[in-house]
Amino acid sequence: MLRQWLQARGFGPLGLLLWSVSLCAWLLIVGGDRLHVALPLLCGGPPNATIPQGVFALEFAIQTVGWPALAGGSVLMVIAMMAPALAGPFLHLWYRSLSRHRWRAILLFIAGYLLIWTVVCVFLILTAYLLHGSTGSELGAGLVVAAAGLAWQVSPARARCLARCHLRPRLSIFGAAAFTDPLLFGLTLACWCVATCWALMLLPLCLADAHLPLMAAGALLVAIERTRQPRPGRSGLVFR
Amino acid sequence: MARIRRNVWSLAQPWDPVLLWYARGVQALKARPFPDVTSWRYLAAIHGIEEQIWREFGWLKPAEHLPQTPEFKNQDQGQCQHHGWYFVPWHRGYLAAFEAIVRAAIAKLPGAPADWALPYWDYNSKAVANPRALPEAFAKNVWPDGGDNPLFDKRRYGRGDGVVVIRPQDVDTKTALTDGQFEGVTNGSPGFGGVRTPFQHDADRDHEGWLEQVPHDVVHGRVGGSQAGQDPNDWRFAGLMSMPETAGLDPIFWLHHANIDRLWEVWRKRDARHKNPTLSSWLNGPAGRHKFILPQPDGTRKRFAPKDMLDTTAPRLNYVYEDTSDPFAGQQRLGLRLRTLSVMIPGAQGVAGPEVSSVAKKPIVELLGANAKAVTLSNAPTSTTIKVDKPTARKVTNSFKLNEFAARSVPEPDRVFLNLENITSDNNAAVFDVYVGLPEGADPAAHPDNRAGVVSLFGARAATNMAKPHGGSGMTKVLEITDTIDRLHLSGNADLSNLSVLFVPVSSVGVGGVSIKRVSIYRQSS
Ligand SMILES: [Cu+2]
Repeated sequence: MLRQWLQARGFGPLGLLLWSVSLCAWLLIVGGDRLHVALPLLCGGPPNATIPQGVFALEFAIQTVGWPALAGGSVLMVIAMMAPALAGPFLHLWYRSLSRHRWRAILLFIAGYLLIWTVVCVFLILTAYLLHGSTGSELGAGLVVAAAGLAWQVSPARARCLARCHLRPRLSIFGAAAFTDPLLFGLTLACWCVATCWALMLLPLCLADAHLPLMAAGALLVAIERTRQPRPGRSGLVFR
Repeated sequence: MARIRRNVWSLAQPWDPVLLWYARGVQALKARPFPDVTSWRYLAAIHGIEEQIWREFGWLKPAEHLPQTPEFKNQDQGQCQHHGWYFVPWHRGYLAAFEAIVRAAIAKLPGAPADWALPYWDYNSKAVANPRALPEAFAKNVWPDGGDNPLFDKRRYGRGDGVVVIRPQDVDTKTALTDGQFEGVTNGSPGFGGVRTPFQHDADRDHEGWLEQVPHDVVHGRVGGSQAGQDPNDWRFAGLMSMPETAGLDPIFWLHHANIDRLWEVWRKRDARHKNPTLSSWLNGPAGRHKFILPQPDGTRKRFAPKDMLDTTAPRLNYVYEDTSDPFAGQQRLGLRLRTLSVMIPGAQGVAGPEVSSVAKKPIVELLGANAKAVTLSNAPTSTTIKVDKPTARKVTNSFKLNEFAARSVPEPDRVFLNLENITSDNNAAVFDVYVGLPEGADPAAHPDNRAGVVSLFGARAATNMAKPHGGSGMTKVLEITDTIDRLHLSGNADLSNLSVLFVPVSSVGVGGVSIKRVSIYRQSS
């Protein structure tokens, strides 16, 4: 009964697995990962903060909580927010790979995908720091990001980036390309994903106090948007 | 009494009253303003619309706008369900709504019949010498009432010069009708009716069933075509029927789809084991926010779900087809195959259970081999080679051993499917034949047994557009090549290490007009 109900709503076994993965990441974050311990440390940029100051603050944060914790925190954040949106790419990798190479292809994809996002997260943290400095408050930085994000959210350019998130590239099965194709898929998809969702990631980083609720709201938005059947004639607006 | 939808070829040619009243109905609908939900254009836009194309083709005058209602923008336009298991039920509802509106329009004219029903174009009819030609009432711009014939449209290019030429293999219904499964699987057999497309629809358009591929897609491309001497990749020279965004504007569209709808009835009736899906996600579909909703003759709208489309004699539909007899005398794909294989595997037929497998278990589908790089088709035949993965090929070979498939009590050895993945093209009217396992340099025409099937790229342009929701992933076509693989096994030459694939254009493909990202084969084990 429950299974039918779930399947009718598009929750196949894969969907359920990804939602569980996302939930686990959430639990770890709520349970207090070190990135979020370090966030207030990072967000307190002085007035007119410069990039070198930002880098210094980042280095300080790294010294305080350590590289692995910071990278791990970023990865957790990405997994929590993006895992349910990756069902399509995973199915593509699964169906289009030799059965004994399916997991390998998925792992290569994930490696590429997370690599891009981790690097981007560092930049986003830096941006949040600088914004905080130049606006003078967390709220100020948040408002700037919210305004820019909203403008981006409804722009046709973003709609095009979102459409690119549905790209399904060729996957070779022999030779070196059998390794590089899934990896490249992860790298490129992450780029389009970043272009589509940067604002949703940046906002919680700016407002350390409201970090979790904002992240949750962002995750919900991503989930709704990605799992909805695309329809022609639709603009960049999420809700219409 | 249910109304009877008649075969266009059993009507008097060219102007049987059924066709004449259809023409008058079309004329009345065409005269209505676009925002009227019962107008010709509104009904066609429900199937698909692209403003730029409609303007260029003159279906939107410079001073006109698309209907501004929220209903049009958000729910009515572009509703058509292709590439999935809602294809047949959605189109049944669509035809019924159209038919009711035409009947109501005719009823206002003096002398109108009360029981008018939409005729169907049976391109396999035995009643005439060439049933695949366009009926004369559609082909010439003359009609008894004088002036322009409402059933004629000059944007019906056919082979290029306006003559519709359809080959018998373009409308071969055997694959569709002899497959006992409605629902198919991704990369393997797509089934009669297509693959389940849930709420979480993958971006690829790779879920169309046998019926949708042939004859549906091919007839669209062969009727619409593109203008001779022009670039077939330029939509400005495409026929109305070639594109989902304009197909509903051509009066022949409705007779073509009536035949597709009839073939659903033929399939269901030809064998008691042929069953429509029983899952609630199909019956009460579609899953998700968007529901099927269509205009009624009085201008209101009515929702429907596939479960309302199962019985054509129900009050809501109230029609039957003149002929739903079985053209293949009860033959089943599985039975035909086992008869061939019995030469190699004596007793295979005895081992096999029912001819229509009733295995509830989902079959295993896995990749068996792929070519080395993307292929671009041109107007000359193009070939590519599939390299096969040895460990997976061994599974296929083993599945042919009698003790193997008897021990596992599966109904048959592995089936093999050719996948043309992520085809991108701006040419909706491109049609090409696909051959598998031809010796190098062999004339494809001399090897009809190696013909895997015919592919039509109806809808490819939208699937190729990077700005569209599918991100330009293109479409995927699946053709069954089990027969060819069986013959390789029968000949004792089952070395599956390399398999050649040849693409032979049937209509003008244009230079670099069609790209296939990967050509692969999959095994399907029941
Ligand atoms: Cu159609």
